[in-house]
Amino acid sequence: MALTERPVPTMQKLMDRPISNRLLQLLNKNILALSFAGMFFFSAHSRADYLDLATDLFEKGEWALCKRECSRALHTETASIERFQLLRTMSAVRLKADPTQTADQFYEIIRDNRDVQVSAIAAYEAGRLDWLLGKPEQALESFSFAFQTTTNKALFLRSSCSAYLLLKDHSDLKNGREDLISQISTSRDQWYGALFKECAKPDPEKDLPKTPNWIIRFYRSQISPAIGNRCTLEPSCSEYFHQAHQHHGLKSFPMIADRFFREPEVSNQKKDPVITESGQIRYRDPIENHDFWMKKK
Amino acid sequence: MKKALILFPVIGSLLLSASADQATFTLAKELLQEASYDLSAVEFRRFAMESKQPSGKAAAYLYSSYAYLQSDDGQSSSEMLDRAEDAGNTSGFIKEHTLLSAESARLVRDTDTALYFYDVLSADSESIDFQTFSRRRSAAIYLSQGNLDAARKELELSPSDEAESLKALDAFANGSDKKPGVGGLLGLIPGAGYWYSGEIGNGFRSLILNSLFIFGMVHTAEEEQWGAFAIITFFEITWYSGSIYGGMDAAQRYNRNRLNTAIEGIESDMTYRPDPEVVVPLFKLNIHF
Repeated sequence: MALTERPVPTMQKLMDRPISNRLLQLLNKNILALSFAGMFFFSAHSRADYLDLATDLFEKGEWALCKRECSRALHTETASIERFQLLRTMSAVRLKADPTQTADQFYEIIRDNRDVQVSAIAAYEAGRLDWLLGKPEQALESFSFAFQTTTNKALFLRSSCSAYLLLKDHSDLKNGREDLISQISTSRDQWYGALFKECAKPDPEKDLPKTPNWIIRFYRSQISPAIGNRCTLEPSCSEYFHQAHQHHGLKSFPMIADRFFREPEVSNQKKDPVITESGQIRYRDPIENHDFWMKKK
Repeated sequence: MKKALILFPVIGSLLLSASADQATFTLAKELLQEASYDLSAVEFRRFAMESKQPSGKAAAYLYSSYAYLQSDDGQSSSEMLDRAEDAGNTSGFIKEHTLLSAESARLVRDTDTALYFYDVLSADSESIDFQTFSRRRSAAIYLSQGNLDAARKELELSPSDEAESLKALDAFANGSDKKPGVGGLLGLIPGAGYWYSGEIGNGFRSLILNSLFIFGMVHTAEEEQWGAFAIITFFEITWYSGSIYGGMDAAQRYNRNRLNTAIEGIESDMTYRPDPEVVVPLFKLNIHF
């Protein structure tokens, strides 16, 4: 991938770029790991509304709707195709699509489009996927391309920080890249605490539900199969304990004891029934009804 | 003859574009009826983007705002209201716009803004339904803030008969909240915390379980069965702390249920939804009591 053949703006020009208010708003809301909307804020083409809608859905974390909106636009629109493609692929990444396939799609976008900003974002996203897939050299190439070509300050900081963290993990890649390291170090004084967290190596299990603690695992594997599903409430008592433990730590013990005391009464009241996948009738008793007055972790 | 030849394709293409727009609108309304609010909001937005007329655009954004409200997304609903204003001609549905603004603010718990819009609606709207709706909503907000006098005043100013709402307010005023701290303290005596908030059965279950496990602790200690003692003690600590927590939680739930009952009594299941007979470029909300 000939990423480095692209025109590279001077460092001073990159540093002098202003950040749009829109971008600042997004950063403050901490919605985006990558501020996409800031790039396209001044869209000049006639069908900007559709891109605006897709971008809005992306910002709100409605990945599936955003992906669908982009697919629809790609069937009907002739302008801004590369932007819709980029948004669609970024949504696919967040929907946990196959990283190898999505990385290839990003590289296709870089190869086929003429918009340097789109390429820079695509390169950054591809770099993150390559890092996840254990291809550090390719990831570094992508980060340095994004870092050297973007005119967006947020992307500039993210790509430089990601490249720094990648080099920290793979010190063998530093050889022969003294210029790049020196360029990265020029942006270091602008990095902030949260940036390191956002730019750290992607963790595929980050958004997965947390594994229950050993008590629940023991109960579910050894006791529950023997006594059957005895809980008449939804969520089940083990799930309630798991949620309580996640949000309130040790307070989960009194919370589950309280639930055992209350269970017969809640069942007898027969309020708010739900039918589980197994066809069993249970009564809703979510943790929110019992911790609305408590501080959460 | 020549004029007709020229006009036919023009009228034809206009009808075609209108039917394309209409398909999006129909889909959006169907999704709204199916309670697929997120999808419906997006379709209404698309319809708004496709609309050429400012009033049609504004009406479609109001529909979208309504759909977002139904999906509990107050922020997006508010954004759609801004867009409706930006679209231009909203003079035909000012009261609808005000009501949706109030509801959006209420949803994001911006009570001051919500009260402001309800006040505007109560003062300016000529519709009795809208006035009643906003007075009751304001009363409910004041009640949840603990301002019973303001709540009562709102209900007294309502143009409708508010006997039932005032009755609910009186019932709330005549009762009193339970103190969660007292519930927790009473929970030190297993079961008493629940009894304090009127949960008799839960209290007895707590008392019985705690008694059994305390008996188990004493018995195993007397028999010097320290392994069993440790296990039973672990469970007893859980039951005992559960009794204290349960006393506090029962009081909190009691207070919340009391407030919710009063609010439900004041609002009397009132709802609002777009008039099914009216289509863009108009937007009309019907209130049901």
